[in-house]
Amino acid sequence: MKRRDFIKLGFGVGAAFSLDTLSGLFPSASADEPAIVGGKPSLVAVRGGDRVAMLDAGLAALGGITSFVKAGQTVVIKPNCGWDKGPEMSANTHPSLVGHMVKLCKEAGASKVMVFDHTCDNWQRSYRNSGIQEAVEKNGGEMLSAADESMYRDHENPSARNLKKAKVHTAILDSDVFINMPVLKHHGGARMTACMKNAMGLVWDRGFFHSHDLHQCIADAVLLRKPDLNVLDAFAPMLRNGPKGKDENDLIATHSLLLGTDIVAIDAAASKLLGNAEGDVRHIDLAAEMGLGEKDLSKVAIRRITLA
Amino acid sequence: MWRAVRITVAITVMVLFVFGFINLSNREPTGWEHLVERLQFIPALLGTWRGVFGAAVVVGILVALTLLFGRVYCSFVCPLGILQDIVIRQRRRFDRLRGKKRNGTALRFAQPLPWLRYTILGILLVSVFLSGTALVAWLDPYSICARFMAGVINPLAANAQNFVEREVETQPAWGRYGWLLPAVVGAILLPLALAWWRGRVYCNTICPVGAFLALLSRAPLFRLRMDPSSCVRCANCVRACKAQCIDLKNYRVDTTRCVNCYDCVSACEHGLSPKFTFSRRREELPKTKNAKEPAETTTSSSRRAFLGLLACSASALATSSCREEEGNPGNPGELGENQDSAISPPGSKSVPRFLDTCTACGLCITACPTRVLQPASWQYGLRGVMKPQLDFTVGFCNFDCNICGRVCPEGAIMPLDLAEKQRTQIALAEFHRERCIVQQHYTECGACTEHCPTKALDTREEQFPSCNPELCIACNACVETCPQKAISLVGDESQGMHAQIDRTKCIACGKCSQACPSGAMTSQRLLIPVLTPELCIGCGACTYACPVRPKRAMQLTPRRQHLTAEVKREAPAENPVSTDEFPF
Repeated sequence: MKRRDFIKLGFGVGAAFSLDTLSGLFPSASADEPAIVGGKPSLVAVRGGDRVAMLDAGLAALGGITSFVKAGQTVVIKPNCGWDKGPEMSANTHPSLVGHMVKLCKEAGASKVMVFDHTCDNWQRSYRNSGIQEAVEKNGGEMLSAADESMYRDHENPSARNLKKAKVHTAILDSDVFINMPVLKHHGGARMTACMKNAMGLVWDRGFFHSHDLHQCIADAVLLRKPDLNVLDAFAPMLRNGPKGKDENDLIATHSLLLGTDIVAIDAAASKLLGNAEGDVRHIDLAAEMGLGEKDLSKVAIRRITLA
Repeated sequence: MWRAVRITVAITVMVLFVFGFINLSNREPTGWEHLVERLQFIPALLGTWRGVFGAAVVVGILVALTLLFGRVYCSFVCPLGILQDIVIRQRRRFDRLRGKKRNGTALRFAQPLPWLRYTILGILLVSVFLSGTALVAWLDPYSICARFMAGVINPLAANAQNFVEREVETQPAWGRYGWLLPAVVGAILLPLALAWWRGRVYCNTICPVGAFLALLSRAPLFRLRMDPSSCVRCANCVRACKAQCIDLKNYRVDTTRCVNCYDCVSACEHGLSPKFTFSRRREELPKTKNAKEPAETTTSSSRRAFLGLLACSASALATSSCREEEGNPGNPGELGENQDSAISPPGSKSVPRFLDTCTACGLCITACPTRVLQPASWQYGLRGVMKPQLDFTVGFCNFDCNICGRVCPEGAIMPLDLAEKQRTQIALAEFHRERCIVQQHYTECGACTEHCPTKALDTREEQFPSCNPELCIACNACVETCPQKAISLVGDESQGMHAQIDRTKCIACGKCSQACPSGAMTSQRLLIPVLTPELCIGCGACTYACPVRPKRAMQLTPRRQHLTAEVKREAPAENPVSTDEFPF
């Protein structure tokens, strides 16, 4: 496996380096698109490679990991790791992505890389069976527990509409860098779970979201702490029966990865990958209305990358 | 040498026993960590009754060992026996420290009281026929220790770990046994206090395992024999004997009470040791004292009575195990009929079967990763006190987990392979629409469906109406069309009437907004749960996740007889958008 990983990584890095010179090959170069200021798009959409190669290529388009993580900083990565399901079920963010991100942060000089999720299933089983724990620890990161109220701290959220106050995991409140790393799935209540919905794993009381207008609270949760970087695993999204999923028949082959700084734009793009119409996912509209990001993708600087 | 072997084995067993109940990382059990629990006599006996092959092997081994050596189980394997030995050892040390010689009456030969232990054993067997394992749970030495581990040692270990690691890794559950905790602790303190007082009193008067093994150890092949020719009557053996079973006057060891600790062998410098004795008869005793005769007759008559009882009980058990298969199947269509019962774990097959088998040792409770298994107080009735039930306010039954069946040493929870467990219906969900957040607040929720592993609970888009009083012309069209009679006209003549919807009655059919001629009645599309009962396995994830309080919108009705669920199968999902380019 190691040699295979090395070759994958090699291709990924190679693809990343080839980007600037070969950018004319990609559809993003068309003239009527919004200009990408300083070569940094707010949304990068990558497709056609394996997850790690797509992450490398996408990060390169955003200026590399060093534009997000500086030496000596503490980093918290929040994957979706909520379910006691194996990596092949796409119920959780793929461990290869999380592990690779931990590695990149460490290489960028991060003093500490922490990973956690407030899981729905038993946290120890979810951490272990998702493969995320192994991937994180192998790359020098640290899995934090989020299973007890003592790990959370009261946090005021004055600009929110409903979620004015929440108990937020201390790692989110205290870390220098917050990387949001969810997986794209259908959701039986919120209709879709991607970057914004992932914030429900940052707080202690998820029930508050459900009982105080789920969509509004999801939009409000962006304000708890806006992620410095969002990476959305859309390699094999769950199209139905989400967010836990029943079997592999629920998955579609999209082979994509979305990343960027505009959380609303990523979710709006992700919603289209699942075939949702405009306005189907109310929390996207609410977040745009609150000025948390741009949902109209024609106004977003998108870099589209297709890996061979 | 014999004693050293005993102590080594006992310490190993005790360490494995304790660690079997400390479950800090929620790892999948490999089967080896609960080996010691599987070697216990009553669990193995119950397992044999329930057709577990491994348990039958264990019973065979224990019986064979007893016939060969005597009650080795009591000193080598039984956790309560080992704990008593530790207490007895401390008592001796305590006496030494105080510079006192042991009170002369404390540990010397005591006349046997066989009628007492056989009566208790007999009552116990009758009680198994009448009320399952309710009484066994209080008397079985393994279960007594095991519950103490589950209720005290397990949370202690979790707290210790949390203290050392400085972050909470596992939530300790001190309150697990609630008001039963004093009883759980008391049940283990009583035998230990008796041991402090005068040795293995519990084992030889109360313990049903001790009584049963006593029947098998009347003349073991390798039994302790005193050699009158070399014995100097120094009484070292008598002082060493925890079971008070060495009758020095008659050079005799009462093998029915001897727990094979071999302390006497170590204490004796004059040749006391287990010897091969190929004779069914016990040693001919030199008839010196008159007190011997009545004791012997009591033993054999009570033995006979007991054997009769044993036969009765065996047949009673056989018939009762047939009978329960006809139990109430629990029609999925009729909700609420089993409301009185608690929900028994998957693999227990039915509540009556479960209550007849489980001795409430609590091993599954400590092994359960979601903590949904909690000791019942009165929920099963008197028969089920301390036995595990599923408590959906604490957790829910993990879909991809079958650990409880794999750790149960008694066959009370049979091991199910994962595919079978995932289809076992232990309860049935009920959706109380009028309490649901979607219905009450007209906002989407989905907490229940997102947790449902079988998709018995899915969401469906429905039309939830609302009336704009400004536009309403009070024409009554919506009131007349509503199939639920959920709409009425409110207001007064001066300010104008308008339609008002009773959200507890509305079924979101959307007929009112279609009928409305003025555009006042609009509807929004919201997802609301729909239940397919045939798919529901009763794992309780929906109830656990439901945010509605105090009464949750999702409720679970126990199935007293577990059934098999259907499985929803769907064709592979098709990509809704082009895979060649981004849809944005």
